[in-house]
Amino acid sequence: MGQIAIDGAGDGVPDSAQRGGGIGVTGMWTFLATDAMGFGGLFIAYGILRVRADVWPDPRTRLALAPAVAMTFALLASSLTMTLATRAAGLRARRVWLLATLALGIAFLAGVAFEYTHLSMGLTSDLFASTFYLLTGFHGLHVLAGVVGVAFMLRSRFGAQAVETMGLYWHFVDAAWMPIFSLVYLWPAR
Amino acid sequence: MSDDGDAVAPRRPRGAAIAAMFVVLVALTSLELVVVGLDMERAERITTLAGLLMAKVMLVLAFFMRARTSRPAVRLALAAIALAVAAAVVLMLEMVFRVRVA
Repeated sequence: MGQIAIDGAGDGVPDSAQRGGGIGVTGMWTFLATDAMGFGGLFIAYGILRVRADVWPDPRTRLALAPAVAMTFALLASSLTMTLATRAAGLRARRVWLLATLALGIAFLAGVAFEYTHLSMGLTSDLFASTFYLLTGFHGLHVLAGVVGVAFMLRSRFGAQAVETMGLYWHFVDAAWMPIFSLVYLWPAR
Repeated sequence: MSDDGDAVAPRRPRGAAIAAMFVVLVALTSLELVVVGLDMERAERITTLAGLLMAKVMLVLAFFMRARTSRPAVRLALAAIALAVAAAVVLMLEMVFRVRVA
């Protein structure tokens, strides 16, 4: 863990973070680049399957928009709380914002579970269902990993640098949800 | 080149700026929902939604992840992410404007 340099605002920001990130941040960016390729591959596969499908149902006939909108706002709010956690001056404030982030992440996962249990289609029902479960499931696993990571941070006494690194992952997961929400829930059928 | 020469100190956004960015993201998401409800041509609707989507992702990358003030090594990783995003966007537009050849 890098040394903590107290800056002018006295918020205990690590020196490496002030310079644009230490080895942890650079490593996380490298991981995110590979993960973005994974998401990109899935989006491209989704697009190709959708374009080549003879029929593609209107998402509004299969999916309820309200839970997805609530999940989207929960993830957006969690990005806000995670940013506030990385800016927090002391350990106590940081833990409060991390706890809020954890709660919103769990709320998102609860939304996914609610949606899955109320859908009238299964994984192998048709192409629409398969791609829906693949994309949202892959993303849900990322959120789950983030929730586990944040919970682990709450149990331990990690510094600002570690929270900054975790924050990058969390924001990435938020950004990855945006195309899923748009493509799967909002884009009209042919 | 020294380490200091590589580094560009990221400016930490203020609380008000963070709140403002959150409001902008919520507004853009709400706008997406409005667009879905509007009576528009399919291509126009998808192009508008793609534009809103790109704006949201770029805001998260540039502001929350502070990518615009990062080190060269991070920018390299960003280039890979941008490549993935660009490929996805090209495909999205291809989905909209594709002309089927019999």
